Amino acid sequence: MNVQSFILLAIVLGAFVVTLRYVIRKNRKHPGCGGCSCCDAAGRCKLNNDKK
Amino acid sequence: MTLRDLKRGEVGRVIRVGGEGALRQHLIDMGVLPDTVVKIVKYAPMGDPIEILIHGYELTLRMADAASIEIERIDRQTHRNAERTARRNAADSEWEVAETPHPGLGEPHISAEEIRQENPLPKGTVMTFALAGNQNCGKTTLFNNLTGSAQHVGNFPGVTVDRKSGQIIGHPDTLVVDLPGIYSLSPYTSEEIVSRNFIIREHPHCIINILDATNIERNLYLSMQLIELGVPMVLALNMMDELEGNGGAVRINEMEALLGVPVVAISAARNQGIQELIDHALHIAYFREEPKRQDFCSPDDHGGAVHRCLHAIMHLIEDHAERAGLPIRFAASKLVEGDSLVLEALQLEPNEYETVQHIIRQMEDERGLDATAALADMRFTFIQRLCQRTVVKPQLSREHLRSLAIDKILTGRFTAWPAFILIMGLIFWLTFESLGVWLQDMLAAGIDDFTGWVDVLLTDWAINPAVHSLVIDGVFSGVGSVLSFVPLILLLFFFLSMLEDSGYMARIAFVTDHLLRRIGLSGRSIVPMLIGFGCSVPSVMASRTMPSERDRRLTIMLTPFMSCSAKVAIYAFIAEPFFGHNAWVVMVGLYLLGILTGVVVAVVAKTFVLKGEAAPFVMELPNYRMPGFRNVFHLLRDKTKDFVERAFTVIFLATIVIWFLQHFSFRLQMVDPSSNDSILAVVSGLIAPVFSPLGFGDWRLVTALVSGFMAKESVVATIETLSAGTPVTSLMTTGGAVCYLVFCLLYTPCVAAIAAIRRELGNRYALFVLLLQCGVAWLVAFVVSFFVPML
Repeated sequence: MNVQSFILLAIVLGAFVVTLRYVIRKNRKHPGCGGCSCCDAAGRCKLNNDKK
Repeated sequence: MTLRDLKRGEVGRVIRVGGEGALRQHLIDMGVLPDTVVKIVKYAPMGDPIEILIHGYELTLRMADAASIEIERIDRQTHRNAERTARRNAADSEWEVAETPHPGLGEPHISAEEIRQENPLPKGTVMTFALAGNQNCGKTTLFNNLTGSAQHVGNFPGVTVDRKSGQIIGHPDTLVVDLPGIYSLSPYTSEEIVSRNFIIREHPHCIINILDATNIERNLYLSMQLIELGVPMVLALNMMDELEGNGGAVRINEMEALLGVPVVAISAARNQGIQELIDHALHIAYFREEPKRQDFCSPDDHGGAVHRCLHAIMHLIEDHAERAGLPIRFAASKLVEGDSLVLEALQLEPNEYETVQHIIRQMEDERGLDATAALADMRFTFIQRLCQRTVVKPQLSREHLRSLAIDKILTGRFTAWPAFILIMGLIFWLTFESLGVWLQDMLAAGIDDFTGWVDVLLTDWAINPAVHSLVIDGVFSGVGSVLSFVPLILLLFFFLSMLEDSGYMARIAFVTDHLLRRIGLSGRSIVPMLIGFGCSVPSVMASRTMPSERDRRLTIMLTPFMSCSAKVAIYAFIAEPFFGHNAWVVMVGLYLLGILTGVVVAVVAKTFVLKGEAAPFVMELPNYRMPGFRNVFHLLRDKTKDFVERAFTVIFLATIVIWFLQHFSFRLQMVDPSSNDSILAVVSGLIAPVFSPLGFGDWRLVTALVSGFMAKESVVATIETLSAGTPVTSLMTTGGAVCYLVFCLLYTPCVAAIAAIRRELGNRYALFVLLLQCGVAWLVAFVVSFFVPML
């Protein structure tokens, strides 16, 4: 495998890890989020922002 | 005779409001009181429910509920003469307040006396404002203006189902809470309890009570109850532009003097008067200026029966109310209304309780009305006098006349159903056939070109074939295929928001109530169900406006059967190659099948599980309005952002995982993706036989279904990744494709929707819905498999 292939693989896997972390964190805070546009710019649930 | 005996166009005077509990209270809160005049405007196409005109606004209610309202028929001319006489006789001494100087409530203190009495909040206190008002009076529009946020608003009663909060622009030490729309502070619906609990328990520094100026009488009924809470309050008269544009006017100074709270004229939609409202609200919150008047009962009114009753109870329960932290006047009036929550909170001694009951009984005897009606009558009498003094009503607003004209077709006896079918058909045709497909093709071509360009680039760079395949066959084909469906989903949301914003959604509820009642639901359930065509998550949330728990459960059980917009991607992806130009017919068929299955499930649930009758259908029909383009724009922007975000998060993750499982064996050796040795092929091969009877036992299709649990669009991405260029038509027969589509339509909603159901109704119910839908989907697809030609 050449260098550019390694770099590309690293980018894809890095993006995978970062995205996975983002999705897990978001869902831990607001289970069920992501199903609709119920999150505001700060990532809070617009429909239900006072429910813990 | 009862209200149901009146014919269209006839007028009657209410003699007695029968029934009991929530329905009766709701009718009374909406102004259906003894001596009130009602007119039958129209019947729904199927003869039920009816639309009545009362206090100058339109209300819909079912025939069965109308039967509990005793009336006497009156001649229209007699009624007009009586109204004129009443208006002439209305002004008594208290109401002679002509040319009232501006009371200056909520404005900077000038006199030495006022300055001496100042009681400001400690520095640094975050001032909280509760935004309260009737449904569909523009609270959320005002909230968006105040806070600069972009909450969804709609021209339909009950869009806000939970409270939302935000800061007033330029005032970081403030917090505005948008409460759900309510008609009174009775304890019968969850929204009313949410609102009054917030005001009583969380002690906001100020209530901003927003009123629809074009329907001021009914809106003031809530204001009077809010004033009784003794919390600093500003009255915002919204839609003043509409009122004035139709020749109406409000004498603000007089109204302010008579109510004892600042009154500000605004137009939330045009952003007029907002700064003045903010200034007044900040002032009275900071200086804790309570309403100057809470006592609206008159000692002269019908011998002062209600007045004496309320004051006697207030004295009796003073210590209990203080201990319970309840405003005394509010607690006393709620006791008279028989509010069990307040009674419990007060913890009265048996003797005190008995005394209260005797006082109420005495009042009822003297007044000749039951306690609830007597209290409502006292409030409406005050409001009537207030409005006669301070409000110049327009004859008939342009908006109302326009609504009447449109309603002749859209809710007409013979035209309502054809119009409904035509409108929905047009929406589906534009979305799935003409405009939507054209936009989708353009976007797909762009994405394909970009993918081809990257493909060439990776080949030029001599990238390792495995990494090349991961990027092109995994990420690009998966994420790209999902992204190309953005136009279809946006168009569907655009049309749904048009239906809601224009006011047609409320008419759909009116027209469909009779049918929905047969399956145990009320017309109000149509709203979550229609929202379900967009997304199941907000539709589950929207079910909170249901007046009964039984209706709510049934609606939540039903909404996932309504085909959500994410499934559009699956339908288009599979139907177009198989059915070509007839694809849109298949898609409409799927939507109808979803509705039909939901109906069958509801009937079964109504018969065996959730027995009982649907909740009463008492709803206001708003005027038709032009949808606010800013509102629609915000909604579409949010939807695009959300869809794209999901494509680059959940779908991105899923495509990489699936690519890996497809390209590697259990020994972590790279294998041919189409071979049966890959991890995915082995695992899916175990589940695939379950689906063989349905005509789609291919492991790739089964894997796509499993990944669809994360997000429905993932089904498309997975098939695209797994088929690696093989056309979808070679994966199954036409019959299998139909069954596959049916299964996708009905099987478990995505994890987000299940989580929303879990949050609303708990773990067991969420699991039940999940299993129910999978079972129903398999069964229906199995039945369908007999009706399609299996090749």
